[in-house]
Amino acid sequence: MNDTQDTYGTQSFVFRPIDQARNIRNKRHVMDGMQALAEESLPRLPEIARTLYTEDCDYHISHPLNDLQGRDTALQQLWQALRHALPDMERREHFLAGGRYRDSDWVACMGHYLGSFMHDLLGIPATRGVVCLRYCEGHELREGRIQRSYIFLDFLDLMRQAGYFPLAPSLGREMRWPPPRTLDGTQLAPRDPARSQQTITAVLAMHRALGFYSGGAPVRAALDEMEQVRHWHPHFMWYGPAGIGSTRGLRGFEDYHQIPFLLAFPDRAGSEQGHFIRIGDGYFAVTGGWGYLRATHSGGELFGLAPTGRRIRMRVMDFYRCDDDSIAENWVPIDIPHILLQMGVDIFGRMRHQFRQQGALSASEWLVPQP
Amino acid sequence: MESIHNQNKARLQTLRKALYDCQPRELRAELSKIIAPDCLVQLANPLETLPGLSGLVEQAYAPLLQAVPDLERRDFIVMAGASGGANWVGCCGHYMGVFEQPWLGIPPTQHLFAMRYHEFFRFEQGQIVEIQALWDIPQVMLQARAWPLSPSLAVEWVVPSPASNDGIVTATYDATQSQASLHLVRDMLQALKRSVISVAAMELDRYWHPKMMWYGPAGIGSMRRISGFRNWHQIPFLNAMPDRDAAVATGVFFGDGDYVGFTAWPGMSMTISGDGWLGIAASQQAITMRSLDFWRCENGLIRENWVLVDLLHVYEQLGIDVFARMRELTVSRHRQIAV
Repeated sequence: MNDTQDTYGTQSFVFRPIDQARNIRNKRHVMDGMQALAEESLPRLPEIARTLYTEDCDYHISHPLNDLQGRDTALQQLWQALRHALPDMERREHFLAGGRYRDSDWVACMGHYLGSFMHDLLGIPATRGVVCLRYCEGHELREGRIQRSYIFLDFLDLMRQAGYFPLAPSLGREMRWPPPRTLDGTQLAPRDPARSQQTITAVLAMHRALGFYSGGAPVRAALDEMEQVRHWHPHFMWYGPAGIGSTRGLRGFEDYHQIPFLLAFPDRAGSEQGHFIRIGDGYFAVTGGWGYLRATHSGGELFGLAPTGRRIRMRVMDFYRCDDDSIAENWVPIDIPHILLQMGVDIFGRMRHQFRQQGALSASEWLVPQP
Repeated sequence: MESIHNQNKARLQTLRKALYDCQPRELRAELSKIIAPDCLVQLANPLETLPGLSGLVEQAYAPLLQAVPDLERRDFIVMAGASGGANWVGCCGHYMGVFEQPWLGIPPTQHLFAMRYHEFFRFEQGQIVEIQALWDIPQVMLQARAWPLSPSLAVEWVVPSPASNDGIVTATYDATQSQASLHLVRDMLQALKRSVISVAAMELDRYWHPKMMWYGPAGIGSMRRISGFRNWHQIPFLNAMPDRDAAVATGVFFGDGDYVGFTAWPGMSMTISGDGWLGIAASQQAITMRSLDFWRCENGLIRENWVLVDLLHVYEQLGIDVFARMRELTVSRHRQIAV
C-alpha cells in the first residue's frame, strides 16, 4: 500500500451532512415526481414535469439518448418514448439515497420500469410481453427541483429480454436486480449522519484500495494488492449491467468481472473531472461518474472483443448497501453500449442490421403478419 | 431389359429436376408429366390428404414457394423396389432456400432454411399414382425458434447424406443384394418386437453397426451408437409405448442395393401409457403413427437410419394444437396484432 496513491481522488473528499427534513423532502419529491411521470395520464406529464424539474434542467442519459437539454426535450424524447413503448408501465423503486455533494443536494434512485413491451423502443423489437427496464439515476437539485439528471437505462438488458443479444455471452449471471436485502431502500425515515459518513467513508476506502493495483497481469498477487477482502462482506452481491451480469462473493466478482475488466483496461483510473455524486445516507451510499473513469482498451477479451487501443470514458454509477463492518451489496449500472461505441462497435446498428432485412426499418415491420 | 425400378427412378427425374430449378409457374405443367391427375397425395400434418395433382401443387408447393421463393430440392437417397405387387421409389433429402415469408404461420427468418423430406412414390405405367410423404415441418419451426413444445433429447442439426455417398442408387437393380438388405432390416424389426421380453432379446448388436447413426425427426434428434439410440430414443419411446406395433407385414417395404425403405400410412399403432417420450403425459390414448424410414446396410449390419415421424400428427391425435401454441409463442413476431 502506498499512502500517496490517490487514483480515485478519495483523499480530498469531505463529508457534508444534510438536514434530514430537507433530505426526506428531496427524496419524496424525486420519488413521487418520477413515479408520476411513469404512471400518470399522458396529458398530465407537462404539469408534472414543471413541478419536478427546473425549466433548463439538463439530462445525461445512457446511449443512444445521451445528452438532452431542457425539460420539454426530455418529455418528448425520454418520457413519451418510454410511455409509448410500455403503455402500462409502473416504476418500481428499490433504492433511494440523498445527501450533499459539491454544494448541491442530491438524490439517487435505482429500480425497474415494469410493463408490457408493446411498441419498439430505439429499434428494440417489442415483445408484447412483460419486461423490466432497469433504471439508475442521480439527480442534482436546485431550490427543491431537479436541475440535472444522470439516467442509466439498461437498453442492452431490454434487448436481451427481447431475445436479441448482440455480444458474446456474459460471464456473470444475467438477472433482474433485487432490491436491498434489508428491504428498506425506499424508507423515508431520518438517517443518522454519523452512520451516513461511515458508509461513504467505507466505500471510498474501498475505491482508494482499487487504486493500489499496479497494472500488471491480474494474477492472485496483483489482485490481492487491492486488499478488497478487507472491504467486502464474504458473500457480497455484485449486480452488474447486461453484458457483464451479476456475481457473488469476492471470487465471483474477480472471476466474472474484475479480471476480464482489468485485462481489458489495466490503466483504468479516475480523472480530474471527478465523480458527479458521492453521498452516504444511512447504510446506503452512492457514487457515480459520467466519463470520470477512463482507460485504454489494451488487452483481454472483455465482451468477446479484441483490444482496440482506444481511450475510453465510462459512464458508471455505484449503489452500495453496507452493514456495520463491510460492503454487502453493490448495484452497478454501466453504459456498456456507450463503451462499445467508443471501441467502434455499434450494437444498435448491429441490431438494426439484423432486423432490417428486406428494407424493413424495424423488427415489427420485418416480421410476420398474423394469420 | 432395364429393370422397372431403374425405369421408375429415371422417370422420377422429371419431378426432381422440376423442384431443383423450380419455376413456380411451370411447376404444375412439369409435374403433370409424371403425376397422375387423380394421384392419391398423402402429406404430413397439417397438409394431410390433398386432392390429386392440383392439391399437391396448389395447397402444398404454392404456399411453400411463396415462403421460400428460391426453393431447391436436394435428394440424397433415391431408391426403388417392389412391395405387395406395387412398384415404389423412395426419396430422402432436403428442401432448401431462404425463408422469406411466413409458412403455415411459422415466422420467417430471412435466413437459410432446410427441411428434410422422406417421400415415397407409387408408379403405375410410368405415372405416379400415390404419394406418401413427410416433410419435417417441426425442423422449420426449430430453425425459426418457434418450436413451442419440449426440447429434443438428442442433437438437432441438418442430417447428413449417406457416409458412402451412394444414396442415389443408379446401378442396375440387384435383386439378390436388395433382398439381403431387406431381410436384415426385417429381421431387425422382428427382433425389436422382443423388447417386451428384455433389452437383450432385441439383439441390437446383431443387426446394428457399432458406429450406427440414427437420424430422427426434429423434436427427437440424431444420435450415434447403439447406446446413443437406446438413451436418446428407444428407452423413452418404449417406456411411453410398450405396446407399439409396427405394420411391417402390411406396409410398403423394399430394398435397393444396400438401401431399404419403409412407408405406411399409418405404419404404427400404440397407446401412450408411460412417461418419458417428448415430455408428454401418459394419457392412455391409442394413437397411430406415420413413420417413414430409410436404412443403409454395410457388410451385413445397419449403419445408418433416416427416420421421420409425423409428430404434428401425433400431437393432433393427443389434442395438442402445436400451431396455436406456436402462434402464441411468436405473437410478438407478427406484424398486425390487436393491442
